[in-house]
Amino acid sequence: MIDHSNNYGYSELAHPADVALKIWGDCLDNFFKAALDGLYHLSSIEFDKNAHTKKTLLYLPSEKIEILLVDFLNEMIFMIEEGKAFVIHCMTSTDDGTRFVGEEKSISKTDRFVKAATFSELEVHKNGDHFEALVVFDV
Amino acid sequence: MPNINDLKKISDFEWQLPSSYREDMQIPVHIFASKELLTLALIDKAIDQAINAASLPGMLGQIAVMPDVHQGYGFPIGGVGAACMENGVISPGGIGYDINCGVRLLASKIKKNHAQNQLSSLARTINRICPSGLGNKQGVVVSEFDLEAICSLGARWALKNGLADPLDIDRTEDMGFIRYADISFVSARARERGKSQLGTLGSGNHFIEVDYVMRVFDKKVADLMGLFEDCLVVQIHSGSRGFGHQVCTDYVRDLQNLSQKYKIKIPDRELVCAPIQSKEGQAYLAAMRAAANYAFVNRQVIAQRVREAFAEIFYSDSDNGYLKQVYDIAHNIGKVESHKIDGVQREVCVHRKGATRAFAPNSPGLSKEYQKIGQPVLIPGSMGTQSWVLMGPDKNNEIAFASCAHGAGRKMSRTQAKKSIHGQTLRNQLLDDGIYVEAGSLSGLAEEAPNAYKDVSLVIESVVAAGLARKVASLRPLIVIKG
Repeated sequence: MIDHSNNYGYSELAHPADVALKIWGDCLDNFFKAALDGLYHLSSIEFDKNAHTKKTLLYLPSEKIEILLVDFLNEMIFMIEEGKAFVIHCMTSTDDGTRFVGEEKSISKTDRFVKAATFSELEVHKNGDHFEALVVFDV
Repeated sequence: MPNINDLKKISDFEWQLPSSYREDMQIPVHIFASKELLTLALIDKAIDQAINAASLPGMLGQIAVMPDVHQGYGFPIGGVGAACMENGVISPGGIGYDINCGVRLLASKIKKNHAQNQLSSLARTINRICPSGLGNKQGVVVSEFDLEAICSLGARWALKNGLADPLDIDRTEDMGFIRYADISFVSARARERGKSQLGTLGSGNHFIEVDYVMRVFDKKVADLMGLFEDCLVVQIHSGSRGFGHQVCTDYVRDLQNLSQKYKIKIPDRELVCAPIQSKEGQAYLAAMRAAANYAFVNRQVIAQRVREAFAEIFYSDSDNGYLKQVYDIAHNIGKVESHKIDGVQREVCVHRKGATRAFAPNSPGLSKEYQKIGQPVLIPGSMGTQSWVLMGPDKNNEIAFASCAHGAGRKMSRTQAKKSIHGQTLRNQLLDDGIYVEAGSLSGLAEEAPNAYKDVSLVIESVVAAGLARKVASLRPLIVIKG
């Protein structure tokens, strides 16, 4: 399960043309949770409080962590475009891939369209269980 | 990061960073800019990104850097590179996510003074008729069959379906159609996104502007283009929407593990690439061309909607109110062209990212009328400031691979702009200057504030002095529609 302490987070960094996020987490689950929170911040989304939620499973094939992160964020960007957002409950990785279990919620408002998460200068740094990365988004 | 002392001054508006600057550079970087703009370009990582592009295999001549350059991802925005067709590479990061993002200019004969009292309702009408904003699904919904036809026929699909007039096609880059597009190389998700977003503007820096022709610099050419002082014109800035974004996302991802296979060293993952002649390179080219054709149709459909808005407001003056196309130009694209490089005529794949084509008279791909004068080049300013209509130089600038700047170029980050500029205040200031603004998001409006961009007149000064293009007319905004 996601650790809901403050051991993960993001900060928006200035980028000349696009937008960038520094994200960190004290475990892989929290690292991805931070990435998702950061994306929702960049998109300025508001959840539809009255809408029903739906349990959802997202599966991404096994890849290097940088590719997994970009794949995950681009899936989320597509969901936002479809008027939905995903909330991670837990994630499990096997040799074949990674499963994200969570809820799908409707969005009532989005203020900014993020086109894509890019690989520009992307490197995920792992120090013990701590993960950190800088992700540039095309807007 | 290079500094000004690392550059060799060629002239007051041209600078060169030799290939000896970094070990992996195959070719030099050639910057077209005044000293003032060069100084701005050296602040961020734009020139480092040009150096990275210069390290890609099979790049020929030099990486050309436009005066409006700024940091992007992969190539800099305002970077041009020509890859050898036999042993060069194609890089989606050298073209961008918004494949064939570009600008269309349409001109009317309605005088600004006659329209003054109708500007507010014209702004609202355009905003109502033209869908904009996030992943907008109020576009023309097309079937799989139509999508395939759009991707293979480009703007001619619009003509066949009564959404264009023949002059629109003549006055579009490459007649709005790029050969050898193949939708079978486009993913199911990209197709899905494409089916519901045709004719939508999008958000970010995309816009529709109603301007008036402020000053004509070359009357003969302006007359031929249909530009007359004080008359209303319309600029449309949009691209291939979710369809193109998805194509780029898919291929940047799929090419990630290819560098090892082809033994290509890349300094930045976003510069992933494939040999042009490889099956992966050909697949991306076919998909990218499909997205480029989609973008031509997207701007065409938006243009038709703006025409509807003009017809609704100026119904009593329908002849003068008809919006005649001046030109439609791409500024994020990869195209096979022939250029003289180091004295030899070569067939190359020109990557233009945040740069337009700027062909001289008698160049291939221009309509009969533009063969005589050269290709129109459209350089929008930032909202609230001038935009420019230029034309290709007398003779193609081969150092730039016949390319030109595409805008003012950002100087302030979006984060900084949002912090320092208040959207509603900006909207009021623009209204005080006589500019009506319709915006989907006030914070988005703040990000696009004129202060966030370089002075476009400095860009034009460099473009003209460096022989990239010639002045035809300047435009001033009256209405700005932002997604």
